[in-house]
Amino acid sequence: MTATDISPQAAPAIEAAPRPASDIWRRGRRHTGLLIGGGLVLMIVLIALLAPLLAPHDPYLQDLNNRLVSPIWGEGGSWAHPLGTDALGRDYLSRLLYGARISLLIGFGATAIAGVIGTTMGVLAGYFGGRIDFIVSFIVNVRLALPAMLVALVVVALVGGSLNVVIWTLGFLVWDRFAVVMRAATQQIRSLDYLSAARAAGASVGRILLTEVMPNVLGALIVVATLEIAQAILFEAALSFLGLGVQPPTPSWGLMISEGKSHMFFRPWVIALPGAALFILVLAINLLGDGIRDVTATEGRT
Amino acid sequence: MSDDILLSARNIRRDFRVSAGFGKRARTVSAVRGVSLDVKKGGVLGIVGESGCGKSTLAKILLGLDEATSGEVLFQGQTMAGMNRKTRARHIQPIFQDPYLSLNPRKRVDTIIGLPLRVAGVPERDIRTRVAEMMELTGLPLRLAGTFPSQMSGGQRQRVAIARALISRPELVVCDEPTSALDVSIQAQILNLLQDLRRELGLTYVLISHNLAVVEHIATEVMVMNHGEVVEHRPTAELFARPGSAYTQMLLDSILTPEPGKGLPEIALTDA
Repeated sequence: MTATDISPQAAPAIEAAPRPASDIWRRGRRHTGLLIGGGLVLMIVLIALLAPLLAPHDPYLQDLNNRLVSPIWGEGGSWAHPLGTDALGRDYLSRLLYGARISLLIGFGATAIAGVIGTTMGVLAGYFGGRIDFIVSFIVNVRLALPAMLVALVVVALVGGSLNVVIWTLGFLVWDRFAVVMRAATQQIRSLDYLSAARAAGASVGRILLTEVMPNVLGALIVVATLEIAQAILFEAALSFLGLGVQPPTPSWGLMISEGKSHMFFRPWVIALPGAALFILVLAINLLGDGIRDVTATEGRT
Repeated sequence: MSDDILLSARNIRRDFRVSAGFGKRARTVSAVRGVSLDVKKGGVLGIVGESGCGKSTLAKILLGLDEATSGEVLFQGQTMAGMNRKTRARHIQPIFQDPYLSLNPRKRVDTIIGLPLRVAGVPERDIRTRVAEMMELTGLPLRLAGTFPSQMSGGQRQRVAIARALISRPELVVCDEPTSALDVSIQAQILNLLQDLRRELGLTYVLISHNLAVVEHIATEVMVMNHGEVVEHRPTAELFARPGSAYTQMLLDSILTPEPGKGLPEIALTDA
């Protein structure tokens, strides 16, 4: 028997050992990416919540005498419309602020639905293995073989675009990564003795999965969730750009880019502004997810 | 069958199907081949044998964590196969080898120890008092109740595992290598604790070990296993004095201490 015989047993123990909360906190405060990402996400969440207080104008109010006014740094720009107006004379800043609500709602909503579906499938497959694992793996492969964008387009075209439809459609499409990661994380701990101890104590499968398995795979779940939120937000922007996502006059960033595309050569800011907003939000969420992974991951994997 | 038999196994067999790869026929490997045993009430049955001889598989079957391919396990004359998992849990509890793997790293010590009672539906208030009692009994300071396993030493963790096993007052405890993951200095403490608890609570143990010194120290009867079969099964003193088979003799010869029984050496039998 050599050291290699011992390592598969020893490895999960080390990996599964949590750091004390204070340790995570200390590492988190030194992680620049996490701080920047977390700060930006927090800021955008606050903006979305406080949009009615922050917005200088009603985002739906059209003013056809003031169409396509430039932002303040452009010709004819004024503080009345700091970021200008769109083709229907609606205040661009107000629409951007309200648009944060749509993006976050879709990002979190779709991810919550996908998380429930994917985690359930992944944990069951990882815990039971065998036939259930085979079936789940098959479903995941089928899902991966489907072009998500195409399916989303078809569904939205058939049912009609609305915020709810977009959230549910995306939720039912982006669960694959949850399933794959949760399955692997559960497989890692399924044969550990603390699960055997719970079984020997007479615990039901439900109790074992919820109180013994879930706390140990939560870290991976949070990381996947942040990545999927960013993914879903971009997905919504793409659907709305194609006219099949959120419907006008709702201020969605993707829709704003779509509506501005005929003016992009002479007034590039009409697409640059919502584009930049999307970029910042997705970057912030990705930084946050990477940061959480680094801080909670095991030594030597940073 | 007499009344003083707590647990008995009849002709236990456990086969594993091992896939040789895609398209090849799966092989069948028998880990346990027709093992029968009786555990006397209040006794300690030591099961010894080298790594891979089927000890741990047998332990899992006795605990109801694994199902035998054939044969049956009887607890107080009742078949275990038909026993409800909560009833079984009240009678039989395990202590595992490695306390680094047997305690959930995300749970606090009091939650870990109280799990069997929580599963049994004992009210939360009673659980708290019984956890405190059990911690005292196993030599754990009460201030450790709110800590995580990662903040404890190996010996303390094994005490937590013992406390969890005993809190629902089972009659039988199956200890699968309870000391082999611990430092030599701690091993003796844990073994003595197990002995004291047995006397105090009137427990019966099935003790699985590859460490003959440990078995000689606390077992009343020893069963030697090799390749999934019982080589011999006799009272401890008799077996150590006059081994009944060449295999047992070989196991005894591989003890490294000059005076068997005086110390608790870590024997790496499989390396020999």
